[in-house]
Amino acid sequence: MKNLTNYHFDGQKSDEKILLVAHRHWFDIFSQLLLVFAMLLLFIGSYASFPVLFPVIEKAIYRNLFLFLENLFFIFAWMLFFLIWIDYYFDVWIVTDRRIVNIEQKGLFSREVSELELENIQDITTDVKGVIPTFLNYGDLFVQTAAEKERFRFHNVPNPYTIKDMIMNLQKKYEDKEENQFGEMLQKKIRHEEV
Amino acid sequence: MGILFSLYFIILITFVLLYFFIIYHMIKYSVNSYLNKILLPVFIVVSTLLLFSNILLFFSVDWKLLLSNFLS
Repeated sequence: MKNLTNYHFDGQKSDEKILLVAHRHWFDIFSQLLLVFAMLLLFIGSYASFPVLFPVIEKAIYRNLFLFLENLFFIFAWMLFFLIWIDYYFDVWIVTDRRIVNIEQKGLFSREVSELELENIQDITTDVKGVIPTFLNYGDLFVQTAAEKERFRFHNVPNPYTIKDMIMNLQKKYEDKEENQFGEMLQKKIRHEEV
Repeated sequence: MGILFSLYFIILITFVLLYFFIIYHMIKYSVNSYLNKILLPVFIVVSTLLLFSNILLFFSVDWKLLLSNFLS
């Protein structure tokens, strides 16, 4: 179980408790990170092989140029890695004891935050499609709301069935709590009328 | 020579802007404060070292001689 004490998000209420933080499955960014790994291999390979293949690089004038270009290439790979990581890590679904918050990060300059109260949930469905998602246990989770026509989508999250069960249990608890509150209110009113 | 320096200046500015945007995102939007405490210093230190070493390496290259060698 993940330790959630270090987690906090903008707009979190003081008495609101975070119960789950879900990111996309790591395999979802694996293909993007492959490019960075390929760049790193190219960087290391060229650093080791170019002076052997092109002895002219040993001359001071070319050596500095070679080191400058290698450095520039490494900075590019480094920044690319962080851009991919930000796009992945800042795309997050947070389940609290009151609501579900979806923070969608698209690159550096686009960020969308939407939220859904537990009381508005009508139906939850999971969609695990394909060999790799089935094998690695990740997929989409759709939360149908009562108020809106659109579905709330958890995109490629790990353990979608566990998350589904968790949200359904939360919603059940919330409904029970509301029913109890309504019952108590009715009882109070009846007693008041009797007096 | 002027074109070369201008081109390098554009590349450098792009990296510096990216550097600040990434730091801004990590500080402002991160939901995990613990991870931030580790990743932010690593990113700042490594990126700063890389950018400064790149500037030093750029000015250590004898571009005049290099260009005259290429052109002749």
